[in-house]
Amino acid sequence: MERKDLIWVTAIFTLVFSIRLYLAFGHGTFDYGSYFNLRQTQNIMETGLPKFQDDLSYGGRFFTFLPFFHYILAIAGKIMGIELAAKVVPELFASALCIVSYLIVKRLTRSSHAAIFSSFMSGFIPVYLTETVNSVSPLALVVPLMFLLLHSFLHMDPKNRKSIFLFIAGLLCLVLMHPVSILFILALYFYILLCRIEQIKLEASEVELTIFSTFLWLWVNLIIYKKALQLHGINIIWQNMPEYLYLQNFGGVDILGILLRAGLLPTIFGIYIIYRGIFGEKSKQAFLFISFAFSTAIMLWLKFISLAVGMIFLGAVLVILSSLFYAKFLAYLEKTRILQYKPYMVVGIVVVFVFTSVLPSVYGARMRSNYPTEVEIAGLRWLKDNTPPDSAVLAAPLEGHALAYYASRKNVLDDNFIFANDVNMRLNDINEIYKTRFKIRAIGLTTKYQINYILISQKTRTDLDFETLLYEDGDCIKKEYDKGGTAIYGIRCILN
Amino acid sequence: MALVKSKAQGQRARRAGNHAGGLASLPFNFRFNSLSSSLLVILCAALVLALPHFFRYWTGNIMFPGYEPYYNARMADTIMKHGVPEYDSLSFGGVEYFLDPYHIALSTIGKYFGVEGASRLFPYILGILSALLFYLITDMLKVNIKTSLLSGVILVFSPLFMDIFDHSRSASFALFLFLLAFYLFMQANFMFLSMTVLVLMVLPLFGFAYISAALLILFVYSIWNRRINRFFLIATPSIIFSVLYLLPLHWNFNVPLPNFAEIDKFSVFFAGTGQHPGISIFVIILAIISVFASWRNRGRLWPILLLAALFAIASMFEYEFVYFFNLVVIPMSAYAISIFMRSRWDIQILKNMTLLILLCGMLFHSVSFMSQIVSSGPHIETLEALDWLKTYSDNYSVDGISQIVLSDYRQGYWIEYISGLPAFMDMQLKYQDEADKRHNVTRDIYYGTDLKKTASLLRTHGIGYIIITEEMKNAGVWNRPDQGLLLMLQDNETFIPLFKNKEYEIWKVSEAMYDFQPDLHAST
Repeated sequence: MERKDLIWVTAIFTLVFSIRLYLAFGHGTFDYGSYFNLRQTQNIMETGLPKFQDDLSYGGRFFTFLPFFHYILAIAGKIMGIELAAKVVPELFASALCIVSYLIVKRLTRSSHAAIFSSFMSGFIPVYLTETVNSVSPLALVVPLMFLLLHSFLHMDPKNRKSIFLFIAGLLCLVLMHPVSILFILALYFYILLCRIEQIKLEASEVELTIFSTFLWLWVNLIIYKKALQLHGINIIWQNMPEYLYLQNFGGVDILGILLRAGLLPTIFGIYIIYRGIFGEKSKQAFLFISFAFSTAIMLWLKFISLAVGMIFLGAVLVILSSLFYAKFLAYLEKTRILQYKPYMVVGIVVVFVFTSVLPSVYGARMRSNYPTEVEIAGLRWLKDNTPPDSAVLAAPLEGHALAYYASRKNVLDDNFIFANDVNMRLNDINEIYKTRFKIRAIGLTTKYQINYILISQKTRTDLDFETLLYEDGDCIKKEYDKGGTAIYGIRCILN
Repeated sequence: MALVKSKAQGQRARRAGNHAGGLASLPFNFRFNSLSSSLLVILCAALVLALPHFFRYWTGNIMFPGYEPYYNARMADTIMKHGVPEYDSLSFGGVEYFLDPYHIALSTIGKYFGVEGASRLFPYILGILSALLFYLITDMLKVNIKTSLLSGVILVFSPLFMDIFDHSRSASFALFLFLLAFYLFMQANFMFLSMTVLVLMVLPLFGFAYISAALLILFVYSIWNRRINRFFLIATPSIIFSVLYLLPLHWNFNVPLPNFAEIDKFSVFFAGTGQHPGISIFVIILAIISVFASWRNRGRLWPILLLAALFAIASMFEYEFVYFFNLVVIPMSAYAISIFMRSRWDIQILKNMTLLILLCGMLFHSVSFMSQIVSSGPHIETLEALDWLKTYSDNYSVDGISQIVLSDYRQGYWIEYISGLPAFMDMQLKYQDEADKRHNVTRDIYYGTDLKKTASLLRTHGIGYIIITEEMKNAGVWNRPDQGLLLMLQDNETFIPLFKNKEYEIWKVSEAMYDFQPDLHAST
């Protein structure tokens, strides 16, 4: 890396990392989904093993997941404490996409300008920033690692043992972190297909790496998800999600959705490069990223990956492809009479990018509302201090992991639906407990799920459109805590 | 490095391969000839098929595994004692019996070893012979000897093979007969060809899938081998017999599989993804790789590609075709592995690691399915409960009429075999037009909230006993203890608790409800 580039990339990385940290520390809490990962990390720190048998989730059950990211976080947690590590480490990983993006584009275009621009753009992909900021999620590491592997795949030297081992190690880490690593494998197959169609010679090592990656992914996922596959069959892809959540998470994707989530410039420039790549210039290296865009788009279209996850990858690859456009655009300018306006044009593009990607990203991340509030956490802490340790608490599915994390009490449902029986029925029952007018019905259901307390947060009220429990009588069902919109009711009766 | 150098071994020896690496680098002086490879396949089959039985016995379970084996054992027992019946008085409270050659064979062997002994021994022997025949067939198809050996070994370790030959099932005999017919058909010998005709005549009795798949394979082989006249000579009697036997059966008794027993198409193909044994995903991917690898030779290899495609499609409509799909994809995957082993990779370590993952992956499915067989029912508690019911019902039968037992339909064969009582429903759903109706009745009884209505349903259908298992209570049927029938069972005037162990509860429907003659064919 040239010195000038190094300074630029370091500056961009620092800027992105600082903005991410600023946004993350702007909240005292993490997003709801993070608490599952935090609990697992905590357990690894304490016992060295992830908690596959969770006594608190769904009142106690077995489930599986890929734990590599949690081990990394646990190591960081040992050094700086889990809360700090959970704030800093994912942001550090997510910001690393700037460096990876620079490396890829620099190698593809040989243009420092384009590579630096790509580095800047990859720091502000609206969907990536919104979904990963202040979120303890393996995706923060999966995204840069996957692109790093794509980069090393393109430039693999079969004689360089060190690079081979690094690739294998990286691949193993990726596969052990998230099943979405299938996108990487699919991209390689699309790449082989495109090269075959265009009669571009493939290196033997490329085919070998593809075959190896396929079998490794299959093997690891079969081992980890064996029982879940046996139970849910092909539905494991949709994580046994209840119907309404499936519609929310695996919704259709349209061009406007891509524009909003991936950003205006990356989408337009990226799509242009895909079009040119297929119907115009045949660049083997660009084919790999075009293939990645294809595989992601097809997986999204078939609803095999959730909209948010798919859009993160699509956004990232569109940024890389749009940098190729940028490089071509700069090269084209060199041949025209308007070369003297080049700085203005570059500034113009940057300004448009700032308005269409940077500001929406930061604004979206700031406005994100799926965090438990301080008031809600105070309620959860009250539960921990004032209820018997083996009591079960009813909370909305989204709040299930936060309940287990802060209150250490059993939840009735959380958003990890794999291995859960009759999730639709459970969800309907929970909604009914919150909204029914009939005490007998409510107590019948609380008896069924052995619920001792009901937690109502402001978010639950808004989501389910109700105000309070209509059957509260101060005897069987008594309000025991009420502060700032968070209420906790104790259940003292059961239905025989 | 030539593995087999002797000229006397002729062409087959040349096919043994002349490349280094892989199996060739065994540390001892092992020669891959037909005999040693056959022995290896036999040894693998004997070991793999014996292990689940051994572990079941070791864990204290003396019952042979599976559901269908108990139906087969009961019918073989009936044939042994009374000859071939026309009517099965226990299944679904009494249904027409369709002759299955497996029952005849089992009853014949049962005369010497007892039906239970035969139910273990017969499929075991059939499995070993089938593995050997499969190896010999691939060997005769001029496949490289190591690829043939690999095919044999992969077959033996495949979950479908274990499922067929570790359980006493008609499919084990049918598949053996098919492989025998194919092997005999490949011989240029009049006596063998005559025997092929005989074997093919038996296959229609197992069902449409077996005979059509067998004829299709023989037909494709004949075209490939340019012996189409021989095919028509051999197959014509079987085709005529199939038409005469299967068409009336289809017209008179064909009913679609009831909704509740519909096959999950995904799990039919992929091992470890549901109720069916399936095929290892590694085998399927390797087979796909072999298609790409051999695409240049597609003119020569079209039969196997065509058969794979046809059987894959057919498996979606009739489950039994997946057995043949398995037989076709296994040589393809063995071919892919042999390509891997032969080829020079730019990154040698990736080749070794890929082969290691493949080995582990395929073994993973085998071991996983093996453990499934070991832990599958029936268990000792099943025997204890149903044996108790048999003794009880012998002593307390109402006017000598066997009262029907209501339970999960998968328990049906066990109930019929061990207790000797008719089950309200069992897994004999193929020609059973009552299945859906009875399933609805069962649901009405399980989830009903009106005791009078439930009692009336029990009375109408002559149900005298109700068997409830722990699995049924734990979300198998009910989600909570106060639901439907579970709540009603607390009414001691209608239901009398008879027996309880770790897994089973047996309840008797009160005698007071039995002042009538049960109508075994009542419908809703």
